[in-house]
Amino acid sequence: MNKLKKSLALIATLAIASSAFVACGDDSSSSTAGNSSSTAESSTAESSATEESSTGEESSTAEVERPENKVKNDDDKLVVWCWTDDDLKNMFKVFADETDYTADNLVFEKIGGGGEEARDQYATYFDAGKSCDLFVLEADWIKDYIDDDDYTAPLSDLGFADADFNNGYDYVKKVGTNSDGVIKGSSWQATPGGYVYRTDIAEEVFGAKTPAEFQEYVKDWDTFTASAAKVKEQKNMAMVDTLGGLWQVWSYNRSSAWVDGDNKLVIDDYCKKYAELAKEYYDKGYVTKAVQWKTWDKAVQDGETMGIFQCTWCFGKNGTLSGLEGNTKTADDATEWTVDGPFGKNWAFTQGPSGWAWGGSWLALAKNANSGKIAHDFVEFFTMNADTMQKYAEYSGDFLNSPKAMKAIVDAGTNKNAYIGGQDQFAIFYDAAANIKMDNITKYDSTLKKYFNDNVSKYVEGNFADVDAMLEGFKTDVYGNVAAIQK
Amino acid sequence: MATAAQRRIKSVSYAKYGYIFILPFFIVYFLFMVYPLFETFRMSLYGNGADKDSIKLGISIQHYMGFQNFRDILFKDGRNTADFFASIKNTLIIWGGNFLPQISLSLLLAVWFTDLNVKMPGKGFFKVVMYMPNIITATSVAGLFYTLLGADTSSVWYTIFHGPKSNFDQNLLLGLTSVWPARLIVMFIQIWMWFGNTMIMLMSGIQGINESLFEAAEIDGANAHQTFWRITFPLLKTIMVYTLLTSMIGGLQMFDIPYMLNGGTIIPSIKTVACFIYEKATGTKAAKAYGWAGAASVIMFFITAILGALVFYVQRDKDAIEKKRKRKEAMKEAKRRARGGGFSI
Amino acid sequence: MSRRVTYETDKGGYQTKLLIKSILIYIVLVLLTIVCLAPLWLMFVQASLSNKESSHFHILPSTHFFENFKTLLNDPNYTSLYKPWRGLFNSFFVAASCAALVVFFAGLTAYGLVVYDFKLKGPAFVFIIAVMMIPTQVTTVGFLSMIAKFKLVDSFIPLIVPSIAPPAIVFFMRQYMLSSFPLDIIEAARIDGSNEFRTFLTISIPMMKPAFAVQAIFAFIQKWNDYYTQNLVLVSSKKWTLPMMVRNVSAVRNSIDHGAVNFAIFFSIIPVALVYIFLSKFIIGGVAAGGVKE
Repeated sequence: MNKLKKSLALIATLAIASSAFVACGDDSSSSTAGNSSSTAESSTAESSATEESSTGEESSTAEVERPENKVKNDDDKLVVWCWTDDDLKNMFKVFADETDYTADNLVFEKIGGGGEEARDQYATYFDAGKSCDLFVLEADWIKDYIDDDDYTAPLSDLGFADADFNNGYDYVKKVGTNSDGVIKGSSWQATPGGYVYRTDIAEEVFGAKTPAEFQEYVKDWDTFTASAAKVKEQKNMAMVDTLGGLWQVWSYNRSSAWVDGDNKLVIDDYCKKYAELAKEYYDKGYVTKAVQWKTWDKAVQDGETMGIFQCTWCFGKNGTLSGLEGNTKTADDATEWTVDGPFGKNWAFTQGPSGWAWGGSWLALAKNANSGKIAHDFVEFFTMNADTMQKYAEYSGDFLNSPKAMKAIVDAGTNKNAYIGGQDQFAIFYDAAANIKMDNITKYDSTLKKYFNDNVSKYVEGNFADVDAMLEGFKTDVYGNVAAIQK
Repeated sequence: MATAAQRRIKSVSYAKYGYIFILPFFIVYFLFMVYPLFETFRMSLYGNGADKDSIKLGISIQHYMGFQNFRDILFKDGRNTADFFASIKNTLIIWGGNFLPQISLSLLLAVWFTDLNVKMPGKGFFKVVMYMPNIITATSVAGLFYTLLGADTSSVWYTIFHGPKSNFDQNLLLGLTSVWPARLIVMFIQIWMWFGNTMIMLMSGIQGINESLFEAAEIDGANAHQTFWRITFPLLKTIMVYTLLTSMIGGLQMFDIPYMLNGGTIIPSIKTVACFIYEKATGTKAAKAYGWAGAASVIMFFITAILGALVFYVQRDKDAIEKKRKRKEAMKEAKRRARGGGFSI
Repeated sequence: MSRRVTYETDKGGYQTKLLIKSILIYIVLVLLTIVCLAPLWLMFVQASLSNKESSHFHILPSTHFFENFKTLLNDPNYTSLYKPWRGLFNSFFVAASCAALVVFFAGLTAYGLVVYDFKLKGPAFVFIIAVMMIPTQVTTVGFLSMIAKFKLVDSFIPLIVPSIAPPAIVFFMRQYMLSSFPLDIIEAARIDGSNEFRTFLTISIPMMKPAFAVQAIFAFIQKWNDYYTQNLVLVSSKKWTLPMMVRNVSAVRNSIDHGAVNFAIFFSIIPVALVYIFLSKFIIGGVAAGGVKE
């Protein structure tokens, strides 16, 4: 009985795996990722077959030399640690639908109430001797874990070769690579961002009827600020929903790292420039006083702001836009979602003043993972296989780390996002994603950005005399909390 | 009472049981309190951070750093000096703002409750109700205040200002997180939680005062005011100093309410010493500042020790007074008996 | 005892004055009662509001009490953060074990100190007095490093076992025994051939019941509410206590159902509130006797 089940599962995985390698193996093939059977492809399938059947034989015919899956396989239950299940709910659903695994094989455990908290809590959990198979990391603090061999194992342990990570965006791979050059994180997402705005206001104030026309009024920061002044004057509305949103755009665009090679804090003109811009926006009412993720939705619903900086994962099925009043949250199993309320009709999406990206989630392999096979299949399904990733993107509305899959969707023109009047946000993201660079991330980013942002908030509220005093406050916070950062 | 002879026999044959009976206490106490205390002292001399960078730099929790942590916390321009002194200041402000109103209120109530001139049916009920806040889980209380007054969830502000218009005055909405409102709320909660307890303690103190003193005052025509300031207050001094000191020690430990009031993100203006220690002692490997937390703990330990010593001084004094009083009474009694008459009321 | 007035009918205005005073006192007391009860009442009211209603302040309860409970029990958004029955069990398990250990071992230690004469009796007692005031917070760092070293993270042991050694309660028990425990009875038991431990169990414990009860109640409530230590020690969701769960749901307030969160807050105080309602007499008596020293 058990054997039969296992072999059935095996056959099913083979089928998936083969299609996966079809997609992976051929990057330049047209968007219709098909099931044509060239010899190369079938040999990939074969090689994966030998791998999957765990005979321990090294596949010799594969195009890519893959290591063995060294992770223990005691358990067919995949346990994923995360701090939000917004993504994982969708992922599990699609994974269970498209593979032979069932919902019973998939468990997520929420750890901590938010990203920041999860960062602290994961370590506590691991230190307490708990473990999972995969866990979700955020760009801001991914280095805390992938640089620490006590917590994470290389993804090659699951049987992946470095080349397997080449199908996604380059920056995603770089972020997932630790300081010794070992790939320890792989992401399903790429996370460029843009500007979501009110079409009615755009037309009334600027006469802009399409996103392309409106983009002219927000194309760089000077223009953006000028437009903000106009909006404020004519409509008494802000241009940006929250300081937090504004910060995300700026935070991404900082050219130097927060900490240099000697572990010294780097404070440059950029920090000052942002603080001054934030102060100007705040004082002049170009940004509302709402708090990101807390009161921001009310500011948006009450018509206090012209637009919101949002990135890829805000548009998806359980994304932030779905939480706004008037947007109907769809049932978990629905494949389409609609907007009943007034929200979607008045909104559109454009790139905004600068390219930027926001966070993203990486999957890392826990050191003591014990469900090697399903972990392998899961990582492959969501971060490497363009076919399955396309399916997931279509289901969830998330922008995935597969240019090929995203191009296919954009070309097909099937993606109409209800929250922005049926516009295809992927089209803009597709162009933006190619330019994302996250070369400067350090393990201290989440901490340092938090302290910086806290101090900027105090500054705009008038608690510091000037920018220099604000920066002193920032330094005090950093030196007082991160011993490893040198004074 | 056992006679001296009996006691001698007992001490010879049963002493070992004394050791056996108190042994579990001491074993566990040394394991779970004394050892961690020494460990804290030790770690206050070691570095911070357990991550690779800290270890590479030689400043991690494995590295002996001498008194560096104390310099970081106490000296001018130390990494944490501002933060640590701010936490002491917060603790003192919140404690003071809670203690003074609390003891005044408790004293007033205690005097009322013990004054039989005032007809007071349902006294038991009032006592029960007033002590009750003390037993309510602090996290829940903080959660409630967070719901009612918190920045993102404030139903009170929304109701007062009609409708969820977040831009109307964010500062008001953020009331909870700005300096004084946050402190006042913590003070209020602390008073609310502790005044009943203090009241009952003071009541037993008042009830311990020799009744004849009150009667004498009454006969001499003293009014309530005079009775309070001339008799009750001076005689309650010891118990009030005791309350003051234990409340200070308790104030140093204030954690739950300040920590939880904003849903788990500590508001700077109510970050107490206990919050400071907690914050530094937890977190990721890079953030684990055992050294700083340890140094702050050591300082806190000495402050507590001084306060504790004062408590004993006060208590011992009280006992001595009590003994003296008893001795006097006994002497009086003896004299009366000697006189061959007299009666006790 | 309380003050008695023997000259009640002294002056004509005295009675009226007293009446006015009584009324004023009563008004203050009633106001204070309202202040004391208001937060609890509001907790209850909040727990009965729907998500939407909870954005406004209500003085009277609404009808969504059980609905919120259901959400809390079934909605996966909360089940991972707040498991009412699990939390109830864990909190109860910790608090009850602590209460039992506290009274038994504090009683045992105090008995040892009162009944027997031995060389180290004096030093032992001085030690207990000396450490009575040390707050748990000052040992936080060492405590954390110790439980990590002994692999006690996420175990109930560091929460429960220290209850064997509560200096303040030993002190209280000792004072109580000294004042109200007839030592002759032990002599009598010895003559009857009872061994020392049995004497403690069968004679001293029943005699000290009132003190035991008070201390057990205090220990129970205190350990139930001891969020600080629980939060340091416990990690996994299976071990979380109710106060920890309250903190969890409070921390993820945004974009979730406030009704359910408010219910969680209310639910967590029900057990201690019940304990209090039924045992308040003991508790007030205990406080009056100076029994509550943390």
